[in-house]
Amino acid sequence: MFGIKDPLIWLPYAMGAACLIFSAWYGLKYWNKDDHKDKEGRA
Amino acid sequence: MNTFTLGLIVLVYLLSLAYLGWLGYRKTNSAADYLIGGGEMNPVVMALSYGATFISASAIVGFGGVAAAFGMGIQWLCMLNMLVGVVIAFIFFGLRTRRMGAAMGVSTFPQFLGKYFNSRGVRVFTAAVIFIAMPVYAAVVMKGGAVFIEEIFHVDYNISLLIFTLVIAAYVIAGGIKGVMYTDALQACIMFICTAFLLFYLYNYVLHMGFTEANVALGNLAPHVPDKFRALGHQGWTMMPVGGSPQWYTLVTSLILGVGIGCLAQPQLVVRFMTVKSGKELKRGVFIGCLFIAVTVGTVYHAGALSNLYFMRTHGAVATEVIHDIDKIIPYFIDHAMPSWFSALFMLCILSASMSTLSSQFHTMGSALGSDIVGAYRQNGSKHSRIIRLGVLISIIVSYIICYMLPADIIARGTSMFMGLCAVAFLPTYFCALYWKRTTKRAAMASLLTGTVAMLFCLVFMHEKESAALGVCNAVFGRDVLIDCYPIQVIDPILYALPLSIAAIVIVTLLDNKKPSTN
Repeated sequence: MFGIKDPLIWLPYAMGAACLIFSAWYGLKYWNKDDHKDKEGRA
Repeated sequence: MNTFTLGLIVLVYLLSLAYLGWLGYRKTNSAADYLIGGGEMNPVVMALSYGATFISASAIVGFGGVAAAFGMGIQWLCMLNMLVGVVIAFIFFGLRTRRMGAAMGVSTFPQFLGKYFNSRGVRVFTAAVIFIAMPVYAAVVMKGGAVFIEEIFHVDYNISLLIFTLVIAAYVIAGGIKGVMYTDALQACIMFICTAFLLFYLYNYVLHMGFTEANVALGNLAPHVPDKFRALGHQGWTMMPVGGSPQWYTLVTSLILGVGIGCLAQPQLVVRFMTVKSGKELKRGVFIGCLFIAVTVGTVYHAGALSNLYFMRTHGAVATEVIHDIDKIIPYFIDHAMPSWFSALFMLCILSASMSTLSSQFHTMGSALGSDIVGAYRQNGSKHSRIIRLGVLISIIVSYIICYMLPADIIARGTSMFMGLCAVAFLPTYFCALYWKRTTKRAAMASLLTGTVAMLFCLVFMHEKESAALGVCNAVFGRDVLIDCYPIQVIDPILYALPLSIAAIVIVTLLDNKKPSTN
């Protein structure tokens, strides 16, 4: 993949990209969502 | 770039730090402000500060050099930094830490564990480990920064160490965590821009190749692997080392697992979770932290490996054949392959990486002494920011003195030793505080003690790199390691000590088998 034959080398690149995509999705999904446990914890 | 322009850039940088430090000082009115920014820091500042604290100069220069020597296998570390150091740390550790920390009204990592287990012993022991072990790590970073200033500005080492320490001391003591985090955010931006530009310029103006083409060219360099590295298991820069070879053990156990897992229980990172108002802020910070690590760390590791193409084209040999000291490959490459104005800016990037890590270390050590240890024995001691400031000052002086006692080539070892110690000593207790309500005070103490003792034992008697350097094993048993049987002496201590620490907390909890002490 992308000129790298060893899957153990391109795998961390692919997993790093997946992490980045997941974090973007997670950040956007919960951008304005309050954590209900926050209120319980502070109460 | 001439000295005047370079000096001007550094002057503007220092003035910016002074302004941000003053801003932190002006907004700090209580001990809670000093320790966790009143729990109301901006999520972007928090995420950038987390990343800048996480990534020290040794991660850029040291591990970038490792990538040049051993290839792209080091990208597993970048991936683990993103997955474990940011995604898992923020979502599975950060959210609970922030919520529980706010509910318990604590401001530091030792206070968090101590209050949860209702144990002054846990609090003081955790703080003592931080205060005793972290100065060595801080001294390592200080030494790196001072050597860098010495080389760039041709200033005497002693003077550069003094200036470097005084500048950081000024904004940490005055501005507290707010001063530290504001300056961290500026330094993170500098690091981000510089490393992003490095990759852009490398492909377009140095290699004149695309991503895939450069990878293929790097793969074709495999026959040029130096014999000394081939004997250790090196198969090429786009291949993992031979499984079970010395290089494989170093890469997988020390660099990838040691540093990759060690980042989860670092007190200076954990405290960042307590600086924001709600879980929402932490969730917003996940992407910023992840992107920061991907660009800064991923770029430097990738560029480090690709630097072999540049060295082969210009010098007819791979990086380690041209520059024998791995730590000097990245600075040499930047200095010779990149435009001169960028070399100066990149030096600012290295300086930023050192300063951001060091300022957080000073703050954490000072908090451990002034707030956690003194505060545990004194009525309302942890509430007085003056005592905490005094703790910061003492920790800076201790680190400064240790800096003069450090042996050569200590940077990478000092960093991995501290991260390993944090993982084995704190991680099981920290994890159980968050997720296993049955964990008892005695079990927490047993894990802290077992992890610390096991780690120290492995460093002194088992792991050849440290035991040979320390010389205690040789003095007692007449050989560098207690068990001279491959691969035991090359496996990182974290692989022995962490299971022991986990076993201690699980077994003692099950034996105690009683109600949780608190919460």
